[in-house]
Amino acid sequence: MKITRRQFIGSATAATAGAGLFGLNMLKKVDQVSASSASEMKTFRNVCPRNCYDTCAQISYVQDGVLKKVEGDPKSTFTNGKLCLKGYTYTRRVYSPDRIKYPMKQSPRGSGNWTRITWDEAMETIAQKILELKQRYGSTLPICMNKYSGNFGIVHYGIEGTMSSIGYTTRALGTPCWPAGIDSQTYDFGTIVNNDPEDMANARYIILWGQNAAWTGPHTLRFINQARDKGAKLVVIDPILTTTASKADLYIQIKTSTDGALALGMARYILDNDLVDWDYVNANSIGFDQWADYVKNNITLDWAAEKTGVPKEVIIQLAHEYATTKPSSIWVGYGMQRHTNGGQNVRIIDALGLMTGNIGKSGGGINYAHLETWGFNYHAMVMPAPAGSKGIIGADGTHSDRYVNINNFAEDVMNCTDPPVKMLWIACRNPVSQDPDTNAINKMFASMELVVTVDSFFNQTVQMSDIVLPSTTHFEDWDVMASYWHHWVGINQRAIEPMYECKSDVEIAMLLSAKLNQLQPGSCTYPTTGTPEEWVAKEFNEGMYSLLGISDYRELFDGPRKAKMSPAAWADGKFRTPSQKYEVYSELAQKNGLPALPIWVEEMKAPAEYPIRFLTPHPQHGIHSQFQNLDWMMAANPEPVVEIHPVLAAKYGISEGDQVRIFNDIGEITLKAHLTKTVSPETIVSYEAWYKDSDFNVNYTVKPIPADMGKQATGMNGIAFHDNFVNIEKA
Amino acid sequence: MLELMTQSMTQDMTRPMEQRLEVQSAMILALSRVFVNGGEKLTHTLPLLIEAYEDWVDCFLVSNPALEQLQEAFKAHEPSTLAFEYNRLFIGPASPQAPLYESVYHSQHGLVMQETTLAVRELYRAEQLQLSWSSNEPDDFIAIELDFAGYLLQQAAECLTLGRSDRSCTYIEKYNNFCREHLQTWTAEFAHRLESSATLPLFKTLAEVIRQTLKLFDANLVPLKPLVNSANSN
Repeated sequence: MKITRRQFIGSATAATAGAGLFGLNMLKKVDQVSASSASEMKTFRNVCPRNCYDTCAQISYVQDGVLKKVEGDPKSTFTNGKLCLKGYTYTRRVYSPDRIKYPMKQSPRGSGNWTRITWDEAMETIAQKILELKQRYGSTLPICMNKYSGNFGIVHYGIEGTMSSIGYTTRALGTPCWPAGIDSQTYDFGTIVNNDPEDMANARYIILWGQNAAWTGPHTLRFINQARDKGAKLVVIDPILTTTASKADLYIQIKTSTDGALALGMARYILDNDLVDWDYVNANSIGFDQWADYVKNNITLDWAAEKTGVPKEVIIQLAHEYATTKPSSIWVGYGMQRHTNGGQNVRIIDALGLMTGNIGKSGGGINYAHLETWGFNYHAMVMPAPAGSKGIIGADGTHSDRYVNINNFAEDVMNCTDPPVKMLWIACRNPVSQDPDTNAINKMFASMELVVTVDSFFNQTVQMSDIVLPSTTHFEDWDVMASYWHHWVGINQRAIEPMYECKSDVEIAMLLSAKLNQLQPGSCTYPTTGTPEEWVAKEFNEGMYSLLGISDYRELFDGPRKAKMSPAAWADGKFRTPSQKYEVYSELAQKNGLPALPIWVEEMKAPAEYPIRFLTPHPQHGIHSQFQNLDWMMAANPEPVVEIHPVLAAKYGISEGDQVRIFNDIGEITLKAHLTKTVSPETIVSYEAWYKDSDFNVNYTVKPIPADMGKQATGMNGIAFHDNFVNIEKA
Repeated sequence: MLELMTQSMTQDMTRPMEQRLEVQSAMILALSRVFVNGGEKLTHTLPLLIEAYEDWVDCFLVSNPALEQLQEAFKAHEPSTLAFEYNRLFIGPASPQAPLYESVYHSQHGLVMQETTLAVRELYRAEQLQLSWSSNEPDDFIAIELDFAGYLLQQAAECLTLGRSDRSCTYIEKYNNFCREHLQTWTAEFAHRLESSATLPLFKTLAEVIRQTLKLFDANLVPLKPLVNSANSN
C-alpha cells in the first residue's frame, strides 16, 4: 500500500479541532456561546430609502440576528402600518441568494470572468488608479461620479463626499426624474412645496394629472378615498388607462404631452364664465392679467379639444367642476413633465390653481413635491479637497468640480477631453439600464480605464464594470430619511449585521481614504473613523430638531416625526419668487430663454418614419431597475411586454403574443406583444425595469432629448423620456 | 459485524475505527476548505482535496472512484479559468447557478437565512461553536456545515482514542442526525445543479466527489454504531 497523507501525518491527534492540516475552517470553540436572547424578537425602526413618493416608515422584526418580517410603522399616520408590494418583499431582497456578496473584479470588462478579491485589494486597485490618473493628468478630473436615487438616505450623500475628498472630479449633475416640474414651480412659486398628502382627505374634488398612484404612490390613495367617502370626485387624466384611472369617477385619455392645452382650454372656460377667484389672484400674483389676455386671444375650447383629443363637453365639465367645487386638489405626476414642453405644461396647470384660489388652501394645491424636510447637515457629503487639488478654474481663480449632464451622460463624458474621463465611480445608480441611448452608454463605458460600481445586484451596469463592491441594504445600515412628498422624517437603524462582506457607502469611503493616505499621505480628506450611528448623528442640526419637535436624534427610535409645517403649501402667501408673489409672469423663466407666461408650447411631433410614440413609464413591480429581479416579482411579472392597441396591432399584422421589433434610428428592442385598449392607437407602452437574467432595456430607442426645464433648480434640464418615437414590425 | 457499506463501497477494516473516522473527517474538512477559500485558491485547496480523497478512497475501498478524473480535471485548465467558473457557479456577482446555502434548497422561494439556517446555528451553539470568519456568512453555508460535520467526527475519533466509547457514540449519533437532517437533505440537489451547470470537467467531477463522499452518510448510516463497537473491540 502506498503512503497516504493520513499515514504521513501519522497520529490521530493531528486532526483535532482547530489544529492540524484539516482543522476547522470557519467555526471555533468558545467557552460560552451567547444565546440567551436568541429567541427574543427585537424590533427596529427603518425607512424605505427608495426613490418613491411614499418613503414608508417601517418596523423590522429581528430574531437571533435574522430579519424575519418588515411591516409599515403605524406611528406614521401616512404609512399607517402598511407597505406596498415592494415593501413587503424586503426580506426577499436582503436574503436573495443573488445578492452581490464580496468585492469582485472582472477581466476583461463585460467578459463575465469574475474574480473574488479582498476589500484591501479592491481599495488598492482603485486607489492606485486614482493616484496614477492624478499624476498623469495633474488633477482628479478624469474620475467621474454618477450617483442618484438608488438610496435617498442622507448618509448616502457620502458618495459625493468620497469624490470631494480626493479632489475635484467630474460629476454627473442633474436629475433624470423631475427637474422640469421643479423648475416650473420654481418659476411660479419660488420652489416646490406641496400640500401634506394626508390633507388630500379634505379635498372635495381631486385631479390626478398623469399620476398613477395605485402603482407609484399607493399610500396617498387612502386619503383620496377618505375624501371620496365624503363625496369628493376623483378625475384621472392620463394617456394610459392606468390602474388608478380605472378607479376614477372620470377618466380622460389625453393625447400625450398636450396637458397644457387641456389646462388652457379649462382656463378659457373659467375666464369666460367668471369663475376666477379674483381676490386671491389680485392679492397673491403678478402677471395674471397678461396671461388672461393671452388665453382669451389665443385659446378656444375647440382648439383645446382638437389638440388634446378630449371632447369639448368634457373640458367644460372638468373646468366647471374644478373651478366650482372647492377645495380642489391637483396632483401632478412626473411622467407628464418628461417632454420638450413638460415644464411649460406644469406651469399652465399651476395657473389653474392660482386662478381658482386653490393654492394655499387645505384640500387644495397644485401638488408636485417638496424638499422642506431635507435640511440636514450633509456631513457625510461635505468634504474639502486635499490641499493643492486642481479642478476647473473659475473666473475668481477658485477650483471646482467639472459637471456633465446626467441626462446626456454618455455623450457628455465622451466629449470631455481636457482632461478626458478615464474612471467611473457609480453608486446608487444603474445608468446602463436607465439612461437614454443604451448603445452610446455601452460605447462610453468601453472607453474607460476603470469602472467601479457599488451595488447589491448584478444589473446591467455591474455587468459593464471592472470592480463591483457589495453594498449593504438599508436594514444593515444607519441612516435618516426624509420624503419629497409627505412630511414625515424617520431614523433608519441597523437592524441586522451586514451580510457577507457588504459595506455601506460611507464605510467604503473610509476604507478608500485609509488606502489613499497609506499610498500617498494627504491624498484624501475623508475621515477614517466613526461608527455608522455616529455618522448619522452628525446629520442632525437644531433646525431639523426644531422642525421635528425633538432635541436628540435618538428620540426617533420611538417613531418617525412629522415636520411642524402647514398642511397647506403657501398658506402664508409668502412665495419664494423674486417678487414674493406667485409669478404668472416670470422674468426668471424669460431670462432662461423660456416664455415668461404659461403659454402653449407645441409638443414634439412624431417624424414620418417613426410615427408611433413609445412610452416607457414606471412599472408596477419595481422602482426603476430595483425590485423586479426579486422572486415574487418575477413570479408575478415574469417577462416584459409591449402594450399595443388592437387597431394599431392590426395595422402592422401583430397578434397577441407575437414578437414585435421596436426600432428607430438609434436602436431597437424586441418584445412580446400584449394587445390592450388601455393604450391609445398612437402610442405603445413598455414599463422600464431590470428583470433578472434578462437584457431587456427600454432605453435603446430613447434619445437624450432635453426637457424644456430643469437647469434653474437642478443644474441641468430634465430628459424628454416620453418624446420617444419609433416604428414597429412583427419580428 | 455490521459494516459501513454501500453497493460500491467496502472498508479497509485493518484501520482502527478512529482512523477511519478521521479519514472521513479529513475528507469532509478538505471539501469544506475548497468552499471556504473559493475559486481563487483552488491551486491550494484542490491538491489537499485530492490527497484527502485518495486517502478516503483507499480507506473505504471505493470502486470506480473519481480520483483520476479529479486529478486530470484540475490540471486541464488555468487557475484563472477555474476561478471564473467557480464564481459563475457558486459566488456571482451574477445569479449563482448552485448557491452554497442549505436554506436556498429548502425554503419556498430559495432564500438564505431561513429556518434551516437557524436550526444549524442552534446545533453549533450546543457544541459551543460559533462562526469565526471575516465574512458574515449564513450558518448553513456549505463550508460551515461541512466544518461542523468534520468536527463531530473528530470529536468521535478523539473520544475513541481516549477510551470514551460512550461519548464517541454520542458524537456519531449527533453526526448522523446532522447529516440526516441537514447535509444529506440538500447536497444531492446541489450536486445535480452543479453537474448540470458546470462547463468545466473539474466541477462535474467535484459534484461526483460530493455525491460519493457524502453518500457514506446517506441512508446506510444506521450501521455506524456497531462499527464503533467493532472499533472498541480492536
